[in-house]
Amino acid sequence: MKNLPPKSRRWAKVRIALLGTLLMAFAVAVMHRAWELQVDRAPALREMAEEQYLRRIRLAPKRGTIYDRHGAELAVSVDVDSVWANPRALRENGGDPDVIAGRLSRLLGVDRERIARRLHSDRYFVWIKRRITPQLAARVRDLDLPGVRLEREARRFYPNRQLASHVLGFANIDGVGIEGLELSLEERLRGDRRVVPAIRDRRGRVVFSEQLLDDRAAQGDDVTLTLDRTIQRIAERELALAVQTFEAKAGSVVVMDPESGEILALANYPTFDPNDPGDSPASHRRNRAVTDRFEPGSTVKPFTVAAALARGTIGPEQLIDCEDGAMQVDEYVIHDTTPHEELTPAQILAYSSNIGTAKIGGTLGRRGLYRAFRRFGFGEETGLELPGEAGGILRHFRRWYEMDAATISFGQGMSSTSVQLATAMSAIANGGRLVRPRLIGQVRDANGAVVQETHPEVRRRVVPERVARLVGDMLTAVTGPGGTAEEAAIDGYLVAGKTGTAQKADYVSGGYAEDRWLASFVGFVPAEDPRLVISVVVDEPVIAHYGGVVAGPVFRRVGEQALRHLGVPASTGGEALADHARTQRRRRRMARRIARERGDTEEAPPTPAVTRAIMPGEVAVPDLEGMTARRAVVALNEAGLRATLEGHGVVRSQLPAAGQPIPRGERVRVILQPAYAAVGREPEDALALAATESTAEGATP
Amino acid sequence: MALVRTFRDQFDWPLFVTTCAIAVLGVVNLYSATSASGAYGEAYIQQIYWLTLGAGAAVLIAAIDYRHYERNAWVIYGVGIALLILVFLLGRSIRGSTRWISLGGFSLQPSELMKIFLIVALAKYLHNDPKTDGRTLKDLVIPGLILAVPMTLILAQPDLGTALICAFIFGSIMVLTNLKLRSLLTLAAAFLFSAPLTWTYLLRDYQKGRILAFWEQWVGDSQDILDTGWHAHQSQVAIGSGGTWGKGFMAGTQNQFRFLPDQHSDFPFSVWAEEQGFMGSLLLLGLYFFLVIWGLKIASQAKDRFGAVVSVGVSAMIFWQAIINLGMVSGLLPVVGMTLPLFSYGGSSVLTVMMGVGLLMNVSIRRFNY
Repeated sequence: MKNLPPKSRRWAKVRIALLGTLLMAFAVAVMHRAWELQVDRAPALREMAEEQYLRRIRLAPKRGTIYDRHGAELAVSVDVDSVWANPRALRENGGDPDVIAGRLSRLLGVDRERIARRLHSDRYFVWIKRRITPQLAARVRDLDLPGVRLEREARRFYPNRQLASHVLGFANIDGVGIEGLELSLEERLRGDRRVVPAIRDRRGRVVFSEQLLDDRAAQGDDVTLTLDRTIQRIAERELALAVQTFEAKAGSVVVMDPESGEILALANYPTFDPNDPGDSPASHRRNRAVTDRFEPGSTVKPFTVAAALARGTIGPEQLIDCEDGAMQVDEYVIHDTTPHEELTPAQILAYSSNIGTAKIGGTLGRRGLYRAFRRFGFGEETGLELPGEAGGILRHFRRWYEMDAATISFGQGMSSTSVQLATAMSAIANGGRLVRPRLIGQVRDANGAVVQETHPEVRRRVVPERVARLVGDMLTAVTGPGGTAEEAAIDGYLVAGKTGTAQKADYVSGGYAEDRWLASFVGFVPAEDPRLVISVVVDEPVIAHYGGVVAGPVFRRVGEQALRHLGVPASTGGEALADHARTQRRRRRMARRIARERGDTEEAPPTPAVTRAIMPGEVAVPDLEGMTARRAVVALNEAGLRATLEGHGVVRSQLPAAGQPIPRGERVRVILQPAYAAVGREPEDALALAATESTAEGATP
Repeated sequence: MALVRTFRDQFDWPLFVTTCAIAVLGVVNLYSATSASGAYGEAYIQQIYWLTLGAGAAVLIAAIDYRHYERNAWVIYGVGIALLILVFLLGRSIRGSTRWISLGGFSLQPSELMKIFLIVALAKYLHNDPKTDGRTLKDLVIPGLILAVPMTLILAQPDLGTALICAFIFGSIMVLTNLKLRSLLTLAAAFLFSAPLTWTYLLRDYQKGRILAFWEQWVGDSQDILDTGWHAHQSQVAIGSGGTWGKGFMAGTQNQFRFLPDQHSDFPFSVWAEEQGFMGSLLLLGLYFFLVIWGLKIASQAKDRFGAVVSVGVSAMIFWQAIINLGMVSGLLPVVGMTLPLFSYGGSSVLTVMMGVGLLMNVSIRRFNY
């Protein structure tokens, strides 16, 4: 504009300067903005960008399958459809969230309000219903609603329902293991979730992923268990039957191969369906065989005997004085169910003599007994591949109470789990070696290559083979004539084993509950060449209490079916054995029928193994029941006690109970009732009620 | 051949090289921007066709002495207005706006071309206006009308961005060509006063939404990014995630995975900035800045007022389009549909810019001719 008149020049210059400044200002502003975004805020914005395209990668690889030892599927993942919606896309494409919510609600059975609320949200992704059936998925697809999509998701499915549920555990809706092997094998089953650099575009489609080309690389590993589905089914069926028959609270069965340590079956009752774990209370989902500790009672007697034989502190034929059924140790008295004079170690096991076992345990000394039990695996975890395994409690011998040295030798004052018992018994069965119990056989990746394989693992030698064989022989007498577990005998096979009838600890009173028992049987078969160790524990049976009566038959039924399934040949002389066992059972059945017809109770409750002894200055309270008031007072006076009479008639109850030690000169409360009122009526007085309540309450171990 | 010698001697190499550089970078960038999109996968080839056509037009426009244009300015202006009216008669509607008319196999956006015709018309008026003193408001009535007719037609399409650019071109020309300071201040006041009226009566809902979204981004909580703010937000994420050196050609995640909206038309700079980084941004900004400065230099050396005004107009057009587009994609300004000269995909836009460059070249070459 050089041709402008001079007088406008200055203003023209100002204007050009003005425009130049403006131009510069804008250019600088944009450059500054570029600096701000690309240099200052670059890291934060880069993160935002990565979040966008990496955010919704829930590339869940297929979870590995769990098989039994023969390849039957126990837990599988199946691809099913899940319905989700993009509420923004839905509205953009002219969809009415309320109308769509109504249609989806009718089809899928999800609350209409809930869907509507989700569809009204400002999000780009909301679940409508996950894991629907293929039929429903097809119908959703047919509706072709705007913004409503289907996505393939893997659902965990347990085709055998309750079978081995406690071992398998379960996975949640996102395919994450919550319990059991699903939890402990999570790393293996899950597959490679983190290193898949799949990238998703704005519409959520997978754009790029090298790993996706071969998705087997990301898949979870398949696990083959040592479980045998058939034996597992047998064990579960027989256990459930026994628990129901004897009106027990719970129970567990462990079937194990004593040579390899492979667990062939691990059953618990009550049970649950891992397909819908939420439908069962937590107590049903507990793997009692592994997590629950109990006082094993007499089932540990073989271990005491084996330890003493190994140390040479007793001889195999040595006679041991069993004190005619009662032996006082300090302030306590140890009782035997049936009194005996002198017994060999074999007889002590056959008749389950507490006194004899305590004496044998005594020859080892506290340290010796403690060490022996530790060697058999008590007081430590077995190392089974399940979460939450309890070790059982075996206190160090320096912290044992007076009586512990005696009672621990017959299984009181210590605790163990079913699996521990089975493992310890395996050491007797396999010639004295403690093996590690195993549930996992093999882990293979998606291409079938073996990633991990477990092998029999002998943890240590517990007793010499000779001693183990000897004790095994002794244990065959338990199921023989006159033994405590004739019911456990299996036709045609020689069975070795040991019963347990343990009074349950009462944690409220600090002593033992009078009417709550734990019946058990742990044994192996065939005794001369053991293939199976079976441990049966039934918690709080009501109809009967003895281990031989309650748990023995479970052992027999599981054992005979499992042996048939495995094709194990019968024992030598099996025919004679079978005849004998059959005769025995026939005889017992007849006896029971006669007893029932006569109206007798089937059995007397087991005697407590240990009671408090009568100390100097104390007397035992005489049994007053049924006496008249006059005779009761005389009886008490003769014993050096005094009476407080309540009511009239004949003696209905007394406190303390008969046989209880009480200081001389104390008063005994005697409750009387008219004789006619006593017939067919429960005691209603406060004393009797108090007595029942104190035993009915209390925690279970 | 005097013409050939003139071309050789006077040829404006800096203008040519700068324009070519932007166009080449634009095509390369477009290739990356559209590689992920099926629908626009061939856009860069179309762009090359349009650039070739535009180059031809530019050569033609530069070859003919611009005094011919000055003489026929009103005819040219009339053709532009006629085309804008034609849009209403046989226009093609895309996304709610009627901006295009189909011409055989391709469509033309007359509002783009109108920018050049408007510049020519304004230059013609100012050239013939003998007034050498400062212009007062009264002197702005006729040029105001020259602007108002096409602007009204463009706003009615509606095409807010192009209408804005026309206004900015008008403003820039008037400020540079002897407007009185008082008049300038009055104009500024009038603009401020009319803003609420524009908001109420002229702006469409979606346009208001964009401005509101922009407002919220700076003032309120930008946590909840509305649909309208989504574009701007995505663009900033893309630009920022590029960092200093960029992610590399064809490697911009936000672009390749289509988080960026309209990356071929309105947001090509986001793609460029993401893939080439801050350094790439500086390079491109430098090129535009140089082009505008160069255009103003041509204006200052023009032999007559028509040439000067045309050069100012074309420079202003390139400058405002670049600034508004870059401000929009970087979140400094609200989102308005505004193409980035020679970088955005679009035949009419490319043709218009090339015609403008042709005019610049014309004025530059003939600065010594009398």
